[in-house]
Amino acid sequence: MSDIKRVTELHIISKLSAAVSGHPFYPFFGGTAFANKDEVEPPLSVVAIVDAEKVMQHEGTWLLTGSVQVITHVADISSQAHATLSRSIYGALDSIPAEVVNAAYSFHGIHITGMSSTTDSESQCHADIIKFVCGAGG
Amino acid sequence: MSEFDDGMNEGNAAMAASCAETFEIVKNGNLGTYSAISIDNLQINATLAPGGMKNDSQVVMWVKDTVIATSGLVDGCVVVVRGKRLRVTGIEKDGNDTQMVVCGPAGVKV
Repeated sequence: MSDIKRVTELHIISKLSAAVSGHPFYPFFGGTAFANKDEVEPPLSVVAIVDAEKVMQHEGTWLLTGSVQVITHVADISSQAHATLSRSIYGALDSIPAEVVNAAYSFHGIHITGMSSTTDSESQCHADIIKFVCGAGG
Repeated sequence: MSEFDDGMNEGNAAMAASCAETFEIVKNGNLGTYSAISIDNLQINATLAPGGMKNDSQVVMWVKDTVIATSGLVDGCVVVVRGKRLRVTGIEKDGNDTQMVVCGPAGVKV
C-alpha cells in the first residue's frame, strides 16, 4: 500500500477529472511520474493532502486534511471565468461519493470546510483554495 | 528627435545587424516568429511547486516598437525564447523606438 495521502490525492483527481473536463489536475508532488508533467503552468489545479491522522488504533482508517488549489493566470482567463471554474470544481469535489474503490482502498466521504483566495507574489494569478477533510481506509 | 535618440537608433541598428535573434509568441495555441534586436543570456532554473516542477527561467530582450505593435506582444503573454516557454512580466521603454521586454517563468508559484 502506497502512502495514504498520495493514494487519496490520486482518487480525488480521478473524480474531479471526470467531472470537470479540459482542466488538468495534479497531485501535490506531480513530477514526471504523473502524466509526464515536469513543468507545471496555469491553468491547473493541485490536490494537496497535508495531514493524515490515524483515527483507529488497529485499523487503517485515516482522517485526511487537504485542499484543492485552483490556479489560473490573469493574462489567460477573466476573473469571471475563473470564478465559474472554481465553482464547478467545488461542486465536483462536494459530490465525490463514499465507496469501496478496491480491496486495498476505501474512500469514506468528504466534507468541504472552507474556501479562500490567494495570489502569487506578483499578483499574476487567480488562485482559489478549497479546503476539505475526508476519510479513507487502506 | 534628439541627438541621443538618433545615436540610440543607430546603435540599435548596429546591434541588430550582429545580434538579432528570433523569438516566438504563443497566441491561441499558434506560434508566430518575430525578431528581437538582441536577447540576453537565458537563465534556466527549475524549482519545486505544487503539482510538479516549475520552470523558473528568466531572460531580457530588446525589441523594436514596430515588432511589438505587429506581434501583439503584451504583458502576461507567453513567448518561446531559445526553445524555453516564458511569460512576459514587464515591458519598459528603452530608447526612442525600443522596448526592453523582461520575461519570467510561464508558471506561477502560489
